[in-house]
Amino acid sequence: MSFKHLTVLLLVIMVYVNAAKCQVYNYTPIIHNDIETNPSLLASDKMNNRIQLYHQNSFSSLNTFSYSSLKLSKYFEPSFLGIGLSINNTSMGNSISYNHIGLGAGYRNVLFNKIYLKLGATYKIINTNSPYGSFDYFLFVPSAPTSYRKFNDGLNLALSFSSASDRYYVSMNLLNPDLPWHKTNIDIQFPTYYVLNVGNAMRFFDGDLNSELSYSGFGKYSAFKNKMTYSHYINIKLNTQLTRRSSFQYGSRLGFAENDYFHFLPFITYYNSKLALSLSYNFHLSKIKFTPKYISTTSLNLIYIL
Amino acid sequence: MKAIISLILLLVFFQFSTAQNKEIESTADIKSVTIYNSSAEINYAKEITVPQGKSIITFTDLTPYIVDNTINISTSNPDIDIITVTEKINYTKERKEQNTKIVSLRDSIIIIDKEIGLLKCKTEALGMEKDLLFKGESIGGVAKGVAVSEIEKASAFFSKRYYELTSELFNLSEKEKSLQNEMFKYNNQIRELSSNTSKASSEIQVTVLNPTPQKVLFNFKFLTAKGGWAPAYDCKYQGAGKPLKFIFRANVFNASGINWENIDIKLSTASPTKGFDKPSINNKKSNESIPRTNEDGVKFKEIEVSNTIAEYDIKHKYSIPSDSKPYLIDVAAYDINADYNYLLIPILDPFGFLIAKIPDWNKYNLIPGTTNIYNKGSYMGKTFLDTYTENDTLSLYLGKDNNIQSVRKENSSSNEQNIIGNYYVEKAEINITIKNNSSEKLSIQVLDQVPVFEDYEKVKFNIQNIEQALFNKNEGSLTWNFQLAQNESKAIDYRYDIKSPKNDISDYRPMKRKYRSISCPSF
Repeated sequence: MSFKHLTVLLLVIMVYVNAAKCQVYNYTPIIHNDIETNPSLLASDKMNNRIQLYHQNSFSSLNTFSYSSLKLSKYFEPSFLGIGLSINNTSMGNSISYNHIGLGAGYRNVLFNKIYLKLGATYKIINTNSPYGSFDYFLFVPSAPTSYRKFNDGLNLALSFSSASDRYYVSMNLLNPDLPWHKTNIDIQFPTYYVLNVGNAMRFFDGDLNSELSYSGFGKYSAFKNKMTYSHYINIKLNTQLTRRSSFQYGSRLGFAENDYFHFLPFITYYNSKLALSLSYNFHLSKIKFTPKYISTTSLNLIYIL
Repeated sequence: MKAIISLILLLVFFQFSTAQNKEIESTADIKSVTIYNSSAEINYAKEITVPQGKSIITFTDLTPYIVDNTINISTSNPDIDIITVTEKINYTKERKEQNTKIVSLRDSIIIIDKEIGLLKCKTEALGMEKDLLFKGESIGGVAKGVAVSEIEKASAFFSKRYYELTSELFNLSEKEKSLQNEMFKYNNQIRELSSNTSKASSEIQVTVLNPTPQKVLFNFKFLTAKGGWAPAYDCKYQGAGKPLKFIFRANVFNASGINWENIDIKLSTASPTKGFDKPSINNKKSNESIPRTNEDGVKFKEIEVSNTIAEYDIKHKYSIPSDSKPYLIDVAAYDINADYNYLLIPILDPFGFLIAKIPDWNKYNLIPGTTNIYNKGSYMGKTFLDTYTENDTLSLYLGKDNNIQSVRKENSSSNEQNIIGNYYVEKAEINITIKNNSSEKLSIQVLDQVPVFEDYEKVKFNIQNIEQALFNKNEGSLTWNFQLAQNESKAIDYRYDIKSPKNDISDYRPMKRKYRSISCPSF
């Protein structure tokens, strides 16, 4: 068995070990470089034969929270089409969880011989293990606590404009829009996100494509609350070359979310042409007293290119 | 008494030994020269009356550039023993001037020099008279007055004489300049003619032991590196269906310091100066020689020849002066059967190139050389004949023929201006028209080229209407072979389209195709 096969097998086992049991975005994946929230990225040769394994955990017995995901993607050069598969599980407390399988596709074309135009969509089938109610960031508010285990579905849509190597990009995503067949108010409620990612400003400073300075902003509309909130993030990533093929990357996402709290996601990553291994910490400080707003989590992210 | 007897015996012995070593000095005549590409073997012959006993025969006035260990000497009589052969350069002996042109020019210079000397004497005399003319300019003294008529006469005299003197001096000056100029030209000519004429000469001393007095014919030869030859060919195309007339000439040079007068010449492709080491396949260095570049005003270049040594006997006698200049001599003439066709590469040149394909080429055993091309009597230019071909058929380009003409039109379009699209699409339509304006039916070969791509999986290349052509996808070449009757025209139309993905748009170039370089004969 080759190393490639072993890696695939290991990753699949790890997903099941993590009790693959997902839909409110904990804001970590809301970024240009995520194939689930930005499926247009699938139409990129960088996403060819890529496996990503992500696990986030609160490591707290009082406020348990875990989020696991496995994402696979492949790009077909001759047709300029990429496909992706994501399997997510989110668990809150001891009894509330949801998981989903998303199948995405992206297609690219070229505008004026200069700009890559990419379109992408992910269709998700969601299995919730919760009463009827509304999921929110680290929260679940039940509306009718009688029924469990319900299947639902959702859609993510994306449109992006970029250069060939993403030296510059603008991506717009619509996550969880109301689908015509969804019943409002009595079903499982997920917020709808309107996302804008703009980058990479680092090209104006050192031109190193491994470094990044970008903006991610989104509006979150909760039908349950009938309220729109806005969040703004600056994403900073710096690169230190270790060898010709490997580097050490570090940085943070710095956000002000929902006009309520500051959100920090510092991370360090070891990166080479085949592999990226990243460790990050996720914490929130209230804008009033700078006290923790939500539970803190630690994340491990592994990306492997076959 | 004993001492007197010993002295008498010593004198007798001395007399005897002096009588044994007779010294004979002679100059031998060059009979023939075998010229190699970068050396020459000079063959001498001389009949000498050799006395009985031991004799030392010295052959003088030989080239000072004898290659070591190459002297070979023999006699007509096998009874004569050659004991030793030595060669030395004599720097003191003035060699007999052999170049009559130089002698004539030097005589002319002596005469001009004398004339210039006489002119200088005359100039000096007239100059003195001119100086004296106005020394006593006071007419009649200071105290006594002079009649006006006398002054007029004196003035007229001075004026006339002064004019005569200055005119004469001017003419003399002009004549001297003219003579100086002439002498300058003669000196330059002498320098040119004697640039390789060495004043030193070699001598070969042969010690022989002869049983009886007799006339003996001595033949000797040696190598000198101061000679050589290079081929020069004339190739004459006389029309389709007629053999190719091939005239083989050789440019021969002599820088040995000795003129070769009216001699037999043989040309050879051997390399006799390469040394005496046993050839070894493993020891490649032993066979390597340092390439000669420029010596005695003669430029050398390296050419590839086959291992077979060819020799050519020259029918007529030739004289080659020792002036390093090339002298053209006739070697051979052949009528060679050849197949002719016209090569047209309309993308590069609208006219046809005549090509002769010569089968069984190797049997002529020629070496590479410059070839003058003639097409039905018209000089077309020069080409380098590379006879070192891998197969037995040689392709020889015989020049451009304006009677075979082509017109190539290419209409191309692209979607470069399209707002959206993953592919850059380029379409091209090529129309080639060939016309035979000659009075003969001719074989035509048309060569055209389409783009070549490194990755045909990414780039989609579609070519149409090339059923009549041979298509080499790797080289992108299209070849059509056909016959054209006189005044007949033929049209070739084909088209292709290229779809190349817009992958690297930051470095995007609409024309991503590349053309392969092909060589075209140059005249």
